[in-house]
Amino acid sequence: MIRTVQTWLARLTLGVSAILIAWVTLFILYGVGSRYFLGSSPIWFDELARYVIIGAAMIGVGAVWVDGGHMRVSVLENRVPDAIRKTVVLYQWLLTLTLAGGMTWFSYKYVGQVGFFKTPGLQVSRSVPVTLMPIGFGLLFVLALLNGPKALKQPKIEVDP
Amino acid sequence: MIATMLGVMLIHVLLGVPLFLSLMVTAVVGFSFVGFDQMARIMPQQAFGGIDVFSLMAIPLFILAGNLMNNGQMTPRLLQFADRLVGHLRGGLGHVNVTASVFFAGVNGSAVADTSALGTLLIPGMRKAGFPGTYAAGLTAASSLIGPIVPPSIFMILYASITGTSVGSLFLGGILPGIALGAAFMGMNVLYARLYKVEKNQRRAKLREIACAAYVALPALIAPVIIVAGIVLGIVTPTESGALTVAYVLIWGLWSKNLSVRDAWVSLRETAVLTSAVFVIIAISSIVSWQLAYADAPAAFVGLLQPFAESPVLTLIAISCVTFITGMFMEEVSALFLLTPIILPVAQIAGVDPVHLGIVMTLNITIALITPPMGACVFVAAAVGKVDIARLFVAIWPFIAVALTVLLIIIMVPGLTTWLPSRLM
Repeated sequence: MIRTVQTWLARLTLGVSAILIAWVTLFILYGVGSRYFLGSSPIWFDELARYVIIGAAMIGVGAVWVDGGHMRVSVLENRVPDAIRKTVVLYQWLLTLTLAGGMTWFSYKYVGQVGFFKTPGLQVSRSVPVTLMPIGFGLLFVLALLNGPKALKQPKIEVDP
Repeated sequence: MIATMLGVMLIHVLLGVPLFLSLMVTAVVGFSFVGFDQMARIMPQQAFGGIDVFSLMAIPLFILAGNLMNNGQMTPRLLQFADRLVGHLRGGLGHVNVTASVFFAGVNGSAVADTSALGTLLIPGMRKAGFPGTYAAGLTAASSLIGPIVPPSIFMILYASITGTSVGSLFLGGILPGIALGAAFMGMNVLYARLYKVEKNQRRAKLREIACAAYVALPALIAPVIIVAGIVLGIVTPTESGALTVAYVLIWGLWSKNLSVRDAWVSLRETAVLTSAVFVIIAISSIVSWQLAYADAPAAFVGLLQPFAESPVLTLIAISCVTFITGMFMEEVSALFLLTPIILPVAQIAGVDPVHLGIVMTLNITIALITPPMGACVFVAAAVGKVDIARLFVAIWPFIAVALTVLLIIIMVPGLTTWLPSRLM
């Protein structure tokens, strides 16, 4: 059950991240088109595109962790006795939970601190884009918690058929 | 402070902790010197500020364009074209490997993707031709270093975002060094082909055959032209150039039926994975970078390199030594992010051109992709080539020596990096 929830949450967040990247590509193309064919593009275009990319990156952080996609070196981990390996894996998990939890809390507090400022282009509260930080690290915390102290996946090597 | 932070970082990297988390622990330890009371405010502020940079937006778009090209069966076409051009020479597959890397570099700025894609197709063939597996895997890993030097280059976009240097100038500045690196590896392959007694095994292709292969590979070959021309002519920004390249590859792929909607979705997901992985490292590196600035590391570094300040060449050699050693033990994106703000003032004092520095830094950081103990391209080459990693890390040193020689030449001849930008920008 927990495994299923984790898998689906990871798939969902990575899917959202992929859709955001597709959307921002179209959005930038529209910006280029409107600049050349309509004479100008709104000043908030770049800012919105930037926040969407940050959103895509942050929302996917947890899913990428589940997928073993974050860069890491696993040479030593694979060459130590099983007992040490289990301790290392437990440490990795606890560290991930602590850091993700801490960063979620810090960035949540930071969202409140920047609420009075407005973004230059969109003229929305700066809290809006900054909220992507606690969301991203929060998802990492939840997905790591659901994962339990299991060994991280080995980095994938993509091989062409 | 810096030594403690470096030690903590290294221990966590060796423990297999993902690099962004290793950097985060390092940042937490750094706050024990800076003051824990600042941690709750500075960490999210610097992390968000680090990725809230316009020029970084180009990165996911170039990654997506490269993924679409890969999934759109572009690699075999480029390989066939390279084979027609140089496959008839002695040690032909080695030359094909290097030449294909030059072409591949214009499609995908990732050295790891280059190693994976070309290694799978070429290492078994090179073994059959008579090259030892370690040499075949080593050449595949080493020639993939051309990827981040020839435009588009993710490392150059990162450098530009930190220093404010023109991405177009950096892209142009990377063309000649990329070709020089390719030529150096081909020269090395000539010597090794003789050493291993690898015979010529195919006839020279006729001009018509080369032209046919070029026509088939044309959609991939003109992608870098679109990228560079668009930026250099001032028609589009690097980010817009990335989006246009994505549109071009997608439309061509779907129209020619080399790319399905499913392939496009897979490419998007792969891009999302890499974007998250890179951006979170940049975000957390920004915290550590702030701490280093707080500790006045740039000033200390300037003081350290003061004796070399009279000579740009000596300054760049000293900078390269620091970058090379750092790159051996640190992931490339974080190394570039942490070192550039420290190194830039030193280079400015010595009168080094920012474009020249950018190419030197990029090449240095790129060479780290094949150095032990963390060279990502070596790991991938060992995996796809089914070669023992320990033996490959021994066999890779001649390739590192060649790459360092090219680096030295580039340092001593700044015109290699500055001539094209000065002519075209």
